[in-house]
Amino acid sequence: MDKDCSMYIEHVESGKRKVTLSLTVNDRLVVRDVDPQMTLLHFLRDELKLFGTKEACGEGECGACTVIMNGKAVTSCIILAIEAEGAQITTVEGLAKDGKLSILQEEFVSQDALQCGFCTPGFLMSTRALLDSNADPSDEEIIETLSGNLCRCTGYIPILNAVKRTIERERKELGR
Amino acid sequence: MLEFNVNGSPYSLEEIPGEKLSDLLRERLRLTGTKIGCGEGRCGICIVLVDGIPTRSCITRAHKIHGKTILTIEGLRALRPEHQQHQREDLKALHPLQEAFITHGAIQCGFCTPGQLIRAHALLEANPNPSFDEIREAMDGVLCRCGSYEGIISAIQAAAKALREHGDVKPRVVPLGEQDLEYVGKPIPRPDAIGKTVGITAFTDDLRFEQMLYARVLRAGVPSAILRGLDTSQAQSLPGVRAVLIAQDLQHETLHGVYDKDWPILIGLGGRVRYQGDAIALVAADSQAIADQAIKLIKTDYEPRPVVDSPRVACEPGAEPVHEGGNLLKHIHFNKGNVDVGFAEADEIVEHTFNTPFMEHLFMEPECSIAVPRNDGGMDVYVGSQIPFEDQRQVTEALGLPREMVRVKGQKTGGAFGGKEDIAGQIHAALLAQATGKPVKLLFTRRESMLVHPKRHATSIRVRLGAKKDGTLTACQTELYGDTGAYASLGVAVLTRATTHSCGPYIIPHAHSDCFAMYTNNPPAGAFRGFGVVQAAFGIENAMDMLAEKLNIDPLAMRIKNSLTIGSATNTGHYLADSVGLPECLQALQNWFDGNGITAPFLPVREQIDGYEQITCWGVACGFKNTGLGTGATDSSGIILRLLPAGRLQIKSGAAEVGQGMVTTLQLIAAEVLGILPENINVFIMDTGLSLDGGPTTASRQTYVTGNAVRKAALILKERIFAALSPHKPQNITLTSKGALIAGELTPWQEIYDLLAASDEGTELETIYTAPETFPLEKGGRIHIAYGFAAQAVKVAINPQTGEIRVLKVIAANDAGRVINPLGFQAQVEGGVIMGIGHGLMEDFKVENGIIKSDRIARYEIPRMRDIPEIVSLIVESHTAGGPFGAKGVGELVCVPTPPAITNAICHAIGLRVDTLPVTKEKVREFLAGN
Repeated sequence: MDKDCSMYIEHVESGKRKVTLSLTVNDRLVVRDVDPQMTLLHFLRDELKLFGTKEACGEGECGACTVIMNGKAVTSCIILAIEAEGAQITTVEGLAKDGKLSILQEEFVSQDALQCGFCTPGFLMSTRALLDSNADPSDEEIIETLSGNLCRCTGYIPILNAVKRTIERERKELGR
Repeated sequence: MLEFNVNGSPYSLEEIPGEKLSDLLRERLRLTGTKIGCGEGRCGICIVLVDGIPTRSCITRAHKIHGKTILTIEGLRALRPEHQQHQREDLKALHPLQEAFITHGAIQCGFCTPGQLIRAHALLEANPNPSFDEIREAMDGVLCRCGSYEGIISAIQAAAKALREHGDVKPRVVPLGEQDLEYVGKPIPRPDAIGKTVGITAFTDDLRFEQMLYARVLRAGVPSAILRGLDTSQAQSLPGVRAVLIAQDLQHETLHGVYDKDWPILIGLGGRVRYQGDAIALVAADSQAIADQAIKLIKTDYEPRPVVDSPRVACEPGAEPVHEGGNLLKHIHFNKGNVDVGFAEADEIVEHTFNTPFMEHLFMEPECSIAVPRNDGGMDVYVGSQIPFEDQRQVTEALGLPREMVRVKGQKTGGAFGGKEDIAGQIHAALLAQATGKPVKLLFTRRESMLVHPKRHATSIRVRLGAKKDGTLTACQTELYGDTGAYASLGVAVLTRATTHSCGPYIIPHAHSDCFAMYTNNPPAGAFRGFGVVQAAFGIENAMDMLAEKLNIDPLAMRIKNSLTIGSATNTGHYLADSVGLPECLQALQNWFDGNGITAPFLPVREQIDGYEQITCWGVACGFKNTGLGTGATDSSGIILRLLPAGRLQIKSGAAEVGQGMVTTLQLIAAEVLGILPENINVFIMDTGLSLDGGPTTASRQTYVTGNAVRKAALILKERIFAALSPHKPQNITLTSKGALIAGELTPWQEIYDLLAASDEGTELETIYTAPETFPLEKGGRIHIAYGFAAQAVKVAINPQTGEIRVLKVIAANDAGRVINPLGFQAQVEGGVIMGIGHGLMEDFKVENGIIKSDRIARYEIPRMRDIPEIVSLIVESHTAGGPFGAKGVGELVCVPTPPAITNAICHAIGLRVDTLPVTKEKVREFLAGN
């Protein structure tokens, strides 16, 4: 384990016990031997070096570590990696394609929906999961969904605007 | 001149006085398909047909075949009918009997197969439509220690039908487990079975090398003595003798031992002889006859010492110390709660002592090692062994070579059952090869095999068991004395297993166990299928029935009531998070009774069987058996995996296949992950020079550990394949036998191979799988990675006039997790039950005052074809999350409940509680006469 990569809650290895895990992350099949006590978050960050997903509370409260697992937004800090056996995972690294930002990311930038940016990956993934299952959510539905993600900088209004503009543009440009 | 015909070819050879027919065939004609199991006409596997008559070639003089026609296994396939139909293209050059043996799973280690086939051919020539009983009678003379008898009978019947009707050979129908996967769970025959049926598969003794010498070892013959004199001068001056080695010639390591190193490679002057099989001197000569003669010319002088002939004697104050440190190898114990409290809560308590004898593996292939010096100063060792990498370590230490200079090339192994874990001839052959610079073969005679290798521990087990009126167990206390003989071998591990399994697979609030592993002057005791648990189960399962009887509770209900379940903990404090199929196994027995209208299985019935009025009755017993090494040992297996061109795959593993069926298991696991057909997967095994350490073939661990290693390697290869097929998404790619299917388009395997070959990562990978960590018994908690569970119901018939006991029927319910290959699983179930019947009714390796009395097959009875019952296998699959597709291990589990189920049935039938194995007709007759 690369010590430099881990956050303040350090992953504790439980001796020699390892389990072979195979899952798809951002459209890539990955196979690793993992400690069964390792969280999905640490698996993504420490094993796969996908540092986009952030840890801010380690107890499933803040939503900064949100990723999409089999189409659902999940807080990866309170899910064990082995629970994701055979799953399809998308992290923030999986949003941009061929070096081009997705509409969602572009709108977060254009609407100034981030300041420090630490919570942004979580917001992006929660929004993505919502829009994948419901291309035209109401304001209430958006607010309800994004209430699981905390942001201490923006006051949430720019984020809401960015999501609404994304819905608009995805409908026009992608025909959703 | 001897003139005769073999397999259609005429021969004219010089007569050698006294030559055996088997030697003529094997040595002079190099027809090594005919195997030698005992050399004394008892095992029947050397059978050939002389003018159509089955003849044991090892006790027939060659001159008797003058003018006669011989058929050996090599000639069988030419006798196939011309228009025979076949289900499989690759089997069409075979005789229907050979095809049937392959597809019916009638072959495990394959050492007895030539004898079985030749005898079966003679039977069908005489009787094209034999009944079950006629087959049993005709084939009775050919032993099979893997216990494939049911498969053999089924194969003979299928072949007979195909021959009569000029149709194809119908495959065997075996019970299947879950069918939710594509390859795993589908029965496939062993790939090595073809070679084994046509007689071309070479076992170690079938190999020849230029200028090869033959070895023999002088054994002490006395059980306890000090070696005072040793004179090898006469042997050394015998013409044809190339080397005589004694202890003072050893320049490096002088001891060996697979666990504790306490076993001298040779006993030196002034050294202590601890059992009859101790090695005193080694001889290598130009021929086996010269080596045998030279051994007789060596003079020895022993100062006798008192013989420690049992663990009780070994414990006595002032007992002769077998080893310098005393006679206690280890005191093994555990405690849970407070048994005094538990027994105070009990309404009924039983207390009884049970005894089990030494038992002999009697694998059909006697030990054989060939050491071949290399011109770079290294040594190649050819041997059929359970632990090639451990052999490599031990030979390395004895020769004083760096590890990489010794290469163990594991050979096809004719059965092992635990008996080929310890060093047998590997070191001795290698020392002689080093001394002479020539290849040296050391083949044990059957008597030497029975004298030398470690046995199943003889034990004495006192069980005290208490329960409340409703049958709820409150306390169990056990005290075990295990006879580990002259050397430790795997004694500590075996008796630890005996201890931890001694209170049975039951939930008991208070449990305590003490086990004393004692050195004696008896043959060393070590690993044997069941590994201490067979003995432990005999104690606790008899005690369970005794207690149920006292409480007037149905023995099956009593077990169901107290059975371990998911979420419970074993008596050693091991929390069981998943995969505890024992309640289902017991329920399966109850359902079977109900479904077959058997309402009172445990009440005796008088039935007419074979023309006699006999008493029949059922008995039940449970068993559980750990999978994996456990108790803190690192349990790993390494795999090299190569994608080959045109959709073929190679798996390289250092793990040993000794007949148990690991190869098909690995094929199916890799096939399931990668979509490649099992028959396109080559499994290369047992070579320390070309494969990674797969760990020992022991503890029912290869399916779990090496199976997981193969699964992991296949997943890593899949990762590479998917990366190479990028930008296609993994979820859109399906791997099939033809290639990768992406949106209806096929990328053939050859193209995938080319893509990988051109990539940085390539087509080959190495990986090591390590099983979950376990803890030593002293620390407690998770001491094993998994347990298999079994319950058996056995129907016995007792002839009240003669006391003869026969097992008529066995219902065997087994939870070994996911069944990977049902054909191999069935073979393990049937072979396990048959070995269990042997342990229950026949097998008694007699040692008196340190002198081995059971020194040949004629003096150690094992099950023959006439002894087999009808076996019903009930598959219970309680998957374990850590196993490959949920699999545990089945190798040892099945023979665990059989002996106590038999004694429980006997007790229900006539009221005799047999507490000492084996049950003999004399015991029964005496009891019945006394009543």
